[in-house]
Amino acid sequence: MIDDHDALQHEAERAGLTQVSETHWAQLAKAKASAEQLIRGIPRHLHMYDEPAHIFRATPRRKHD
Amino acid sequence: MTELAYLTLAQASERIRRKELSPVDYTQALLRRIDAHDAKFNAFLRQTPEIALQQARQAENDIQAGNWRGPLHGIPYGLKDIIDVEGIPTTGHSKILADNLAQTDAFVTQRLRAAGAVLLGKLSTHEFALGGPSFDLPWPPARNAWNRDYFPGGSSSGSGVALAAGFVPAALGTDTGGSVRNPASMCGIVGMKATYGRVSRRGVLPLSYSLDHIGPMTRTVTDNALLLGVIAGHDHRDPGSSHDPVPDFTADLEKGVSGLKIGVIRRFYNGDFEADAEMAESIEDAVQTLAGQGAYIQEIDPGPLADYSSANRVILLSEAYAIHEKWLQEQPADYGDLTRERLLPGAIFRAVDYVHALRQREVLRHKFNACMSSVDVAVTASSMDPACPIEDAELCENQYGRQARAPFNLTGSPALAVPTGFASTGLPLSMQIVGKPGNETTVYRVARAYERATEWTSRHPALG
Repeated sequence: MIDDHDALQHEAERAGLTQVSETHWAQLAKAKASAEQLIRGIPRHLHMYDEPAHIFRATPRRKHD
Repeated sequence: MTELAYLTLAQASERIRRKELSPVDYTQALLRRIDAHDAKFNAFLRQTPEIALQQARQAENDIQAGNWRGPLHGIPYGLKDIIDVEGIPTTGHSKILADNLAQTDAFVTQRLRAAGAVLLGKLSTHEFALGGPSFDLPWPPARNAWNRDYFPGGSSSGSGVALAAGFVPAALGTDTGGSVRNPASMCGIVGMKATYGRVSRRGVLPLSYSLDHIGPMTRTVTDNALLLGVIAGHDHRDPGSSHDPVPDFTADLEKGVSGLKIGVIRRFYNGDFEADAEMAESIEDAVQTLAGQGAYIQEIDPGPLADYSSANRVILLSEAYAIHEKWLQEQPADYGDLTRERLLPGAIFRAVDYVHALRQREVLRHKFNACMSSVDVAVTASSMDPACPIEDAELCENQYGRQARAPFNLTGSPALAVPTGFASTGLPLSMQIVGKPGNETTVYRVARAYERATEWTSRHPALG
């Protein structure tokens, strides 16, 4: 439990969340569980050539872009 | 008063054009109705009666002088309170932005102003279009016009309620994971999330840059097509804005569905989720209705709903956290509890999670578009359940994720929520009609054919 709290505190500090009340700690713990579940739903096996959905464009597609 | 309150946008517009209905009389009637009833429903955060009457008088003078501008001229409307109107606060229904005075109009506000529409006020939302329903914000949450003890959906709650209650014939909402289509479904009205980029997001509080859409909300399909026609179009100051030409979205409304191919994504509501029985039955009835009008029906399978939902949430919450990071660090107590709780996973994700989610988005977009290649539109559930009691926080939270809307924010496809009847509780049921990117016209065509056959959209709640 202490390890969990330390890990959570580390996450909070890394995210700059220094004004964390007791309520917020509970929410952050719930958020961590939720985030980890969502991350498990994202595949890691895509081929390196599979690009993200939006990519940088150096030139405008139209004159006003 | 009821007769004017439930005029469709198209009916009111025609009467105004013919000078049979005064925009001033119409506006005053709706303002009186809001005064009489909105204390029960909290649809409006802020009414703008002075602006409304000034705009209505201007519209009346212009039309009397023979300068009718189009279908929105003299038509009252409301805006979700994350959309800027010059000189009026845009609060996001949040303490954090309670005094945030908008410096200029949003693109969509400019469009409506130029069309001669009449702003009645700013409408309730879930805080920053994410949390909710919340009872710990500076303003109370909107309540369902069909039964004020029930949730009206969100995040564009006030927009849905104002339409169902006959306060406005037109409203705008925003949709990042379903926030136009959810209140449309819960309130028994019509809500469109058009193709990504179809409507400029400039001047609207962002939630997630790559998933945000601005959407028209109305009581009928025809009205929705008319409203989208006014707000759609390229904006060179919105980097996501589409260059595609804007068609006449009403062009095919009365063509019927004979010969069209309709794919049914049954797995979303009868597999990945088990929808409420009345909801599922209403969708199956709708499919049969469309088949009875000559549409070809086939089942399609774009893959598990959870694949789309996970990618949507990781992208949405990562981008939202980037927007909210400073406030979460410096004034976290100023958020409502639910909003803060929903934003915080963004503090946990790493950059690599976001990039993998973006790559997965492209894979899913290709997969979905390939699945759609054999059909003209798809039909599936919007919400899995009718509205829940608004003060049952646990049930509202459980139902929050029981939806099939987020996939189409991810793919950018147009998706329309349309009423499919009523549950035994008297609360609305609904389905989604999903099109190919850029083809809202066929979505409206199918929705209008269904609407004509069923007339669910002509039913209205008694406000008491």
